[in-house]
Amino acid sequence: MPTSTLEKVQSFSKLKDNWSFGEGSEFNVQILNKALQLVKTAHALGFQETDTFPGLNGEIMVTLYLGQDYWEFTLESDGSVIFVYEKGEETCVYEEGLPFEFAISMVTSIALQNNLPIFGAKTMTKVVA
Amino acid sequence: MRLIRIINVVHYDHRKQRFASLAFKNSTGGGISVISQECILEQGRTVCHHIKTFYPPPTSSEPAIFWALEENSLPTGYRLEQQPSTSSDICHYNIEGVADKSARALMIRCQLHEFQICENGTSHTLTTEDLIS
Repeated sequence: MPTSTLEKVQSFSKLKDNWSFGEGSEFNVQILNKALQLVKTAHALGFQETDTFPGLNGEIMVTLYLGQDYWEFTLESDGSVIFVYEKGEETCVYEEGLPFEFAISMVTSIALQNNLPIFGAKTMTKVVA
Repeated sequence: MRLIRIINVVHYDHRKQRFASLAFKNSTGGGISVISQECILEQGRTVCHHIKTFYPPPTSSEPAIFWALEENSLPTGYRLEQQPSTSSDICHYNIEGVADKSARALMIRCQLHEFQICENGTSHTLTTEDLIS
Protein backbone atom coordinates (compact mmCIF):
# COMPACT_ATOMS: atom_id res chain seq x y z
CA MET A 1 0.00 0.00 0.00
CA PRO A 2 1.70 3.21 -1.10
CA THR A 3 1.40 5.65 1.79
CA SER A 4 4.08 8.20 0.97
CA THR A 5 1.79 10.30 -1.25
CA LEU A 6 -0.73 10.53 1.59
CA GLU A 7 2.01 11.59 3.98
CA LYS A 8 3.19 14.16 1.46
CA VAL A 9 -0.30 15.68 1.22
CA GLN A 10 -0.51 15.80 5.02
CA SER A 11 2.86 17.57 5.14
CA PHE A 12 1.45 20.46 3.08
CA SER A 13 -0.62 21.52 6.10
CA LYS A 14 2.63 22.65 7.74
CA LEU A 15 3.48 25.12 4.96
CA LYS A 16 2.98 28.73 5.99
CA ASP A 17 2.46 31.85 3.87
CA ASN A 18 5.48 32.68 1.67
CA TRP A 19 6.80 29.12 1.95
CA SER A 20 8.49 29.29 -1.44
CA PHE A 21 10.94 32.16 -1.92
CA GLY A 22 8.38 34.82 -1.09
CA GLU A 23 5.48 33.04 -2.82
CA GLY A 24 3.08 30.39 -1.59
CA SER A 25 -0.13 30.41 0.42
CA GLU A 26 -1.26 28.21 3.27
CA PHE A 27 -3.51 25.28 2.33
CA ASN A 28 -7.08 25.20 3.52
CA VAL A 29 -8.50 22.11 5.16
CA GLN A 30 -11.07 21.50 2.40
CA ILE A 31 -8.40 21.26 -0.33
CA LEU A 32 -6.19 19.06 1.86
CA ASN A 33 -9.12 16.73 2.56
CA LYS A 34 -10.09 16.54 -1.11
CA ALA A 35 -6.50 15.71 -2.07
CA LEU A 36 -6.40 12.99 0.60
CA GLN A 37 -9.72 11.61 -0.65
CA LEU A 38 -8.45 11.51 -4.25
CA VAL A 39 -5.19 9.78 -3.32
CA LYS A 40 -6.98 7.25 -1.09
CA THR A 41 -9.41 6.53 -3.92
CA ALA A 42 -6.56 6.02 -6.38
CA HIS A 43 -4.78 3.65 -4.00
CA ALA A 44 -7.96 1.71 -3.27
CA LEU A 45 -8.55 1.35 -7.02
CA GLY A 46 -5.12 -0.16 -7.55
CA PHE A 47 -2.86 2.73 -8.57
CA GLN A 48 0.63 1.97 -7.32
CA GLU A 49 2.44 5.04 -8.63
CA THR A 50 1.07 8.36 -7.40
CA ASP A 51 2.54 11.69 -6.39
CA THR A 52 1.41 15.10 -5.20
CA PHE A 53 2.75 18.65 -5.41
CA PRO A 54 1.87 21.84 -3.51
CA GLY A 55 0.78 24.83 -5.60
CA LEU A 56 1.77 28.39 -4.81
CA ASN A 57 -1.87 29.57 -4.63
CA GLY A 58 -3.12 26.95 -2.21
CA GLU A 59 -3.91 24.41 -4.91
CA ILE A 60 -2.77 20.76 -4.77
CA MET A 61 -1.79 18.60 -7.73
CA VAL A 62 -2.31 14.83 -7.55
CA THR A 63 -0.66 12.73 -10.26
CA LEU A 64 -1.13 9.11 -11.32
CA TYR A 65 1.27 7.06 -13.44
CA LEU A 66 0.77 3.83 -15.32
CA GLY A 67 3.42 2.94 -17.88
CA GLN A 68 3.43 5.73 -20.48
CA ASP A 69 0.10 7.07 -19.23
CA TYR A 70 -0.05 10.06 -16.91
CA TRP A 71 -3.05 11.74 -15.30
CA GLU A 72 -2.89 15.03 -13.46
CA PHE A 73 -5.58 16.56 -11.23
CA THR A 74 -5.02 20.06 -9.89
CA LEU A 75 -7.44 20.84 -7.08
CA GLU A 76 -7.74 24.62 -7.25
CA SER A 77 -8.37 26.70 -4.16
CA ASP A 78 -11.79 27.75 -5.58
CA GLY A 79 -12.87 24.10 -5.57
CA SER A 80 -12.56 23.51 -9.32
CA VAL A 81 -10.27 20.93 -10.91
CA ILE A 82 -7.85 21.05 -13.85
CA PHE A 83 -7.49 17.65 -15.51
CA VAL A 84 -4.64 16.63 -17.80
CA TYR A 85 -3.95 13.35 -19.54
CA GLU A 86 -0.63 12.63 -21.23
CA LYS A 87 0.45 9.65 -23.27
CA GLY A 88 4.23 9.62 -23.20
CA GLU A 89 5.37 13.15 -23.99
CA GLU A 90 2.10 14.19 -25.63
CA THR A 91 -0.59 16.14 -23.78
CA CYS A 92 -3.84 14.61 -25.05
CA VAL A 93 -6.36 16.29 -22.73
CA TYR A 94 -6.34 19.59 -20.81
CA GLU A 95 -9.62 20.63 -19.16
CA GLU A 96 -10.19 23.43 -16.65
CA GLY A 97 -13.11 24.28 -14.36
CA LEU A 98 -14.24 20.74 -13.63
CA PRO A 99 -16.02 19.72 -10.41
CA PHE A 100 -14.23 17.59 -7.81
CA GLU A 101 -16.71 14.76 -8.39
CA PHE A 102 -15.31 14.53 -11.93
CA ALA A 103 -11.87 13.73 -10.51
CA ILE A 104 -13.22 10.88 -8.39
CA SER A 105 -15.27 9.40 -11.23
CA MET A 106 -12.36 9.79 -13.68
CA VAL A 107 -9.96 7.91 -11.38
CA THR A 108 -12.55 5.14 -11.05
CA SER A 109 -13.07 5.03 -14.80
CA ILE A 110 -9.31 4.92 -15.52
CA ALA A 111 -8.86 2.07 -13.02
CA LEU A 112 -11.66 0.04 -14.61
CA GLN A 113 -10.40 0.71 -18.15
CA ASN A 114 -6.92 -0.44 -17.18
CA ASN A 115 -8.20 -3.48 -15.26
CA LEU A 116 -6.36 -2.46 -12.10
CA PRO A 117 -6.59 -4.79 -9.08
CA ILE A 118 -9.33 -2.89 -7.21
CA PHE A 119 -8.91 -3.29 -3.42
CA GLY A 120 -6.16 -5.77 -4.29
CA ALA A 121 -8.55 -8.08 -6.15
CA LYS A 122 -8.06 -8.86 -9.84
CA THR A 123 -11.75 -8.88 -10.74
CA MET A 124 -14.91 -7.09 -9.61
CA THR A 125 -16.38 -10.52 -8.77
CA LYS A 126 -13.77 -10.93 -6.03
CA VAL A 127 -14.41 -7.37 -4.81
CA VAL A 128 -18.15 -8.06 -4.52
CA ALA A 129 -17.53 -11.47 -2.95
CA MET B 1 14.93 40.60 -22.08
CA ARG B 2 16.03 37.52 -20.17
CA LEU B 3 13.75 36.63 -17.29
CA ILE B 4 14.53 34.68 -14.14
CA ARG B 5 11.88 32.43 -12.64
CA ILE B 6 12.70 31.03 -9.20
CA ILE B 7 11.83 27.34 -9.02
CA ASN B 8 11.23 25.31 -5.87
CA VAL B 9 12.71 21.82 -5.78
CA VAL B 10 9.41 20.49 -4.36
CA HIS B 11 7.95 20.86 -7.85
CA TYR B 12 10.31 18.32 -9.40
CA ASP B 13 8.46 15.24 -10.64
CA HIS B 14 10.96 12.37 -10.41
CA ARG B 15 8.73 9.99 -12.37
CA LYS B 16 8.33 12.36 -15.33
CA GLN B 17 11.84 13.78 -14.85
CA ARG B 18 10.66 17.35 -15.19
CA PHE B 19 9.27 20.19 -13.12
CA ALA B 20 5.52 20.16 -12.60
CA SER B 21 3.50 22.93 -14.22
CA LEU B 22 2.80 24.40 -10.77
CA ALA B 23 6.31 25.87 -10.93
CA PHE B 24 5.17 28.27 -13.68
CA LYS B 25 1.52 29.09 -13.17
CA ASN B 26 -0.46 32.30 -12.77
CA SER B 27 -0.93 33.52 -9.21
CA THR B 28 -4.45 33.98 -7.88
CA GLY B 29 -4.05 37.74 -8.31
CA GLY B 30 -2.91 37.18 -11.89
CA GLY B 31 0.48 36.95 -13.48
CA ILE B 32 3.64 34.91 -13.11
CA SER B 33 6.39 36.38 -10.98
CA VAL B 34 9.81 36.82 -12.68
CA ILE B 35 12.94 38.97 -12.31
CA SER B 36 14.85 40.79 -15.03
CA GLN B 37 18.35 39.34 -15.32
CA GLU B 38 19.61 42.54 -16.96
CA CYS B 39 18.38 44.57 -14.00
CA ILE B 40 20.06 42.17 -11.55
CA LEU B 41 23.37 42.53 -13.35
CA GLU B 42 22.99 46.33 -13.40
CA GLN B 43 22.74 46.19 -9.61
CA GLY B 44 26.15 44.49 -9.56
CA ARG B 45 24.80 41.22 -8.19
CA THR B 46 24.73 37.61 -9.30
CA VAL B 47 21.31 36.01 -9.72
CA CYS B 48 21.94 33.84 -6.65
CA HIS B 49 22.94 36.83 -4.51
CA HIS B 50 19.84 38.69 -5.71
CA ILE B 51 17.56 35.76 -4.83
CA LYS B 52 19.17 35.44 -1.41
CA THR B 53 18.70 39.18 -0.80
CA PHE B 54 15.08 39.58 -1.92
CA TYR B 55 13.61 36.08 -1.88
CA PRO B 56 15.25 34.19 0.98
CA PRO B 57 14.32 30.52 1.20
CA PRO B 58 12.28 29.34 4.20
CA THR B 59 15.28 27.36 5.45
CA SER B 60 18.90 28.33 4.95
CA SER B 61 19.72 24.85 3.62
CA GLU B 62 17.25 25.10 0.76
CA PRO B 63 19.08 25.85 -2.49
CA ALA B 64 17.43 28.16 -5.00
CA ILE B 65 16.89 26.83 -8.48
CA PHE B 66 16.15 29.22 -11.29
CA TRP B 67 15.10 29.11 -14.90
CA ALA B 68 16.41 31.81 -17.24
CA LEU B 69 13.93 32.18 -20.07
CA GLU B 70 14.04 34.52 -23.02
CA GLU B 71 11.15 36.94 -23.27
CA ASN B 72 10.67 35.97 -26.92
CA SER B 73 9.89 32.38 -25.86
CA LEU B 74 6.66 33.57 -24.22
CA PRO B 75 3.38 32.96 -26.07
CA THR B 76 1.83 35.70 -28.18
CA GLY B 77 -0.24 38.16 -26.19
CA TYR B 78 1.90 38.29 -23.06
CA ARG B 79 2.63 41.55 -21.23
CA LEU B 80 5.44 42.32 -18.82
CA GLU B 81 4.37 44.55 -15.94
CA GLN B 82 7.15 45.95 -13.78
CA GLN B 83 6.01 45.78 -10.18
CA PRO B 84 8.39 45.88 -7.21
CA SER B 85 8.05 42.77 -5.07
CA THR B 86 6.82 42.94 -1.50
CA SER B 87 10.51 42.73 -0.57
CA SER B 88 11.08 45.94 -2.64
CA ASP B 89 12.89 44.28 -5.53
CA ILE B 90 12.76 46.82 -8.36
CA CYS B 91 13.84 44.13 -10.84
CA HIS B 92 10.60 42.21 -10.29
CA TYR B 93 8.04 41.83 -13.09
CA ASN B 94 4.77 39.98 -13.56
CA ILE B 95 4.11 38.14 -16.81
CA GLU B 96 0.48 38.85 -17.62
CA GLY B 97 -1.78 37.54 -20.35
CA VAL B 98 -0.45 33.98 -20.51
CA ALA B 99 -3.06 31.28 -19.94
CA ASP B 100 -2.18 28.50 -17.48
CA LYS B 101 -2.44 26.00 -20.32
CA SER B 102 0.21 27.87 -22.34
CA ALA B 103 2.42 28.38 -19.28
CA ARG B 104 2.19 24.66 -18.58
CA ALA B 105 3.24 23.77 -22.12
CA LEU B 106 6.29 26.01 -21.76
CA MET B 107 7.27 24.62 -18.36
CA ILE B 108 6.93 20.90 -18.97
CA ARG B 109 9.08 20.84 -22.09
CA CYS B 110 12.05 22.37 -20.27
CA GLN B 111 15.03 20.09 -19.95
CA LEU B 112 17.05 19.82 -16.75
CA HIS B 113 20.06 21.59 -18.27
CA GLU B 114 17.93 24.72 -18.73
CA PHE B 115 17.88 25.26 -14.98
CA GLN B 116 20.58 26.55 -12.65
CA ILE B 117 21.03 25.83 -8.97
CA CYS B 118 22.67 28.21 -6.52
CA GLU B 119 25.61 27.09 -4.45
CA ASN B 120 27.86 29.37 -2.40
CA GLY B 121 26.73 32.51 -4.19
CA THR B 122 27.26 31.21 -7.71
CA SER B 123 25.28 28.75 -9.81
CA HIS B 124 25.78 25.67 -11.92
CA THR B 125 23.62 23.70 -14.31
CA LEU B 126 21.08 21.57 -12.48
CA THR B 127 21.77 17.83 -12.54
CA THR B 128 19.83 14.80 -11.33
CA GLU B 129 22.38 14.46 -8.51
CA ASP B 130 21.31 17.89 -7.20
CA LEU B 131 17.73 16.66 -7.04
CA ILE B 132 18.51 13.41 -5.22
CA SER B 133 20.40 15.02 -2.35
